[in-house]
Amino acid sequence: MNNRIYSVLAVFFVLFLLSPLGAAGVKEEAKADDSFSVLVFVPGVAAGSPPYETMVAGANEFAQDKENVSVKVYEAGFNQAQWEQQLTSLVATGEYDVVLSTNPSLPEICERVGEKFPDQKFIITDAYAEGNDQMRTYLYNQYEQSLYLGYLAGLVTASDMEFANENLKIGFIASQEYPLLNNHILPGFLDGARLVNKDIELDFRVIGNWFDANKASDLASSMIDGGVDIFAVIAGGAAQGVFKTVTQKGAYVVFHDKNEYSAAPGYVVGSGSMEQKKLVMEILSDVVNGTVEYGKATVVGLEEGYIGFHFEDPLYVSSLPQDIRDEFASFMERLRNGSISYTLPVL
Amino acid sequence: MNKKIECYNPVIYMLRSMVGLIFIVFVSLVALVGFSYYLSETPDKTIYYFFNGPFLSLYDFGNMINMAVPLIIGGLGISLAFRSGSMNIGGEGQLYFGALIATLTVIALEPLGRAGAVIAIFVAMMSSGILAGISGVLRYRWNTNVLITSFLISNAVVLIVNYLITGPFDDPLTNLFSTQPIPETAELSYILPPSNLNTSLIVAVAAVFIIHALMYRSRTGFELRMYGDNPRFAKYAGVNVMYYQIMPMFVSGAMYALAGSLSIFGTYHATIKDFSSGMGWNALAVALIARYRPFAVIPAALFFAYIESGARSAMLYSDVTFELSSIVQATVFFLVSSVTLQRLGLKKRRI
Repeated sequence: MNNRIYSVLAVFFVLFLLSPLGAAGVKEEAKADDSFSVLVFVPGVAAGSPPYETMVAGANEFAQDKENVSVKVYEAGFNQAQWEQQLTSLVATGEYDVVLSTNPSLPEICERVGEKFPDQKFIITDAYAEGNDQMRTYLYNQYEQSLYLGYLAGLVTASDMEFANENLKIGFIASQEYPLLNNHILPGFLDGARLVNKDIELDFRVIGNWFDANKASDLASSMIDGGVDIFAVIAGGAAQGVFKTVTQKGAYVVFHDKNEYSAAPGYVVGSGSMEQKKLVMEILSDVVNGTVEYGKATVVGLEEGYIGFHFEDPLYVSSLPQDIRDEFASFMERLRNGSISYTLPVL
Repeated sequence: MNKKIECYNPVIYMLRSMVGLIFIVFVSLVALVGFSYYLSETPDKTIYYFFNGPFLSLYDFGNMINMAVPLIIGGLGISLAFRSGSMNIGGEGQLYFGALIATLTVIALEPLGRAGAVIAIFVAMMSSGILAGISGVLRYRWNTNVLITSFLISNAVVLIVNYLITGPFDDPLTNLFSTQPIPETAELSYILPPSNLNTSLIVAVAAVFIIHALMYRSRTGFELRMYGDNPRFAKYAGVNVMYYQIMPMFVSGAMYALAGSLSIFGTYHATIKDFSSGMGWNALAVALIARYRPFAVIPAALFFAYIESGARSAMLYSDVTFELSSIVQATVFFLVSSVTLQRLGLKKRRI
């Protein structure tokens, strides 16, 4: 009996030893001269994240009808500590002409990776870093988006809508503090609200991660008890907790970057937009044509058409009274044509 | 009486004792090959890069060795603790806590330069040592189960460290969940650039000799092993029970802190949230594979690092996800916990 078991194990062992040897014949296909390889580095997981999903969609759509352009999408997962090593490993293969990514934290990581691989080029959206010859960044004007979403929040909190109170207190729930949030998004949101009424106050809270919907819900609940009647939330999956709480306790939400009216119909009263797919396709076109100006950082906003607002959604129309929508549309028009001016804070 | 009496030969015993381990590794790698065929559309490519990836460049090779360093140091501490019967499974929290303490201390002691780094590592080792030692004290005073207390304390500590990193000690100048970076003077030198392999490797190898000497060449080690084999006998032989319930816990906690500190000083240069996720458990598996022998910890740690490194290569070049390495590691962990499998080759030994 034992001999039989050992025989079976021996056969398995031989097959096992042979499997890598058989695979040793694997060879990479030679790269054609005009071929172009793009690594799309997703610092997280694409599914469920609008900026990542649209980046991947933009890159894939760009490469779809171009035989010489290949796209490798790499999802690095949620552990931030592993991003640098994973990106370094990918760059070390020497297979990619350019690394495309999106996230404010990527420039610092790419800078360190770039020091080890000085020929590698990086293009990063939703981030700002200039002066590095290996890097080209595009920053969505989040101050501007926060300014108009803050203005809408100000209109709502100062209104006599069902859940609006007389406290003139607006809320902001974020997953973590980071320079773009502290220097552009939060000041923009408060500045926008104070264009409606200079006495409006901001209650800002931090969750500490991007997934804890229960904690987000608890924070929102305590803020509503403290007099907040409208929220902005930048918290990934944890935002679901805020949607749940505003629905249960009665408050409103304005949302950055994505159409989220259906997350809490009647409670989400405004959704900004970010044209990531459009920007990614334009960038890749520049990359292939060799017209990218590395070392440069550009801020793209309302005027250039890379951020905006979802006016067209029926849920937007039904959730806000006509006078607020008219006032907000007028504000957006004045912001777009430059009659409302502001100074972009230093990042 | 006519049975042939077999003489005890340490070499043959060692070879026989390895049969079980080889079987465990073999089954794990068969699982890998099986899953590659099941999960991947290009299984031959996946298998090729899994097995050969860590050796394709000096960068990959250096990173693999670097990955083994904290596993060696943590595995040594665990070997010592387990050999004395102290089941410290709180490595995750002890390592993470030690890393944070080392980071904060070295930042505070920046004017002292490299001396500050040495002091920071010492403070971190003391802190995590005390953290682990609490379980030893609880065991001595109230006969609590170290396995449970070390695990529960560790879980709580991970949450507290996460809070500290994302709250009071969060660096507002970075977009990551991270503390401030450590001063450049505290960073360890690279051995094989551009890989992350750094001089912490020397500390790990030195630690192997020190722990081996402590366990097998000192009276303390003899008493510790005696206490681990038979606490009651050791007690009647006059061994200090309190000492051998607390000291191994303290040392293993301190070793975890050393592993965490060196990871920060050599690789990460700041305590980034969750940087050590899984390191504590992997060090535990390494100690189990090594069967608590300090010199065997090195190949066991290299094996774990090889699996992780290979999975990373397969992921880069092929279409599989990183979970492939988790499957192999989980299989090793699961099988290695079986004493029967570990003693597979020893079954027929007659004395």
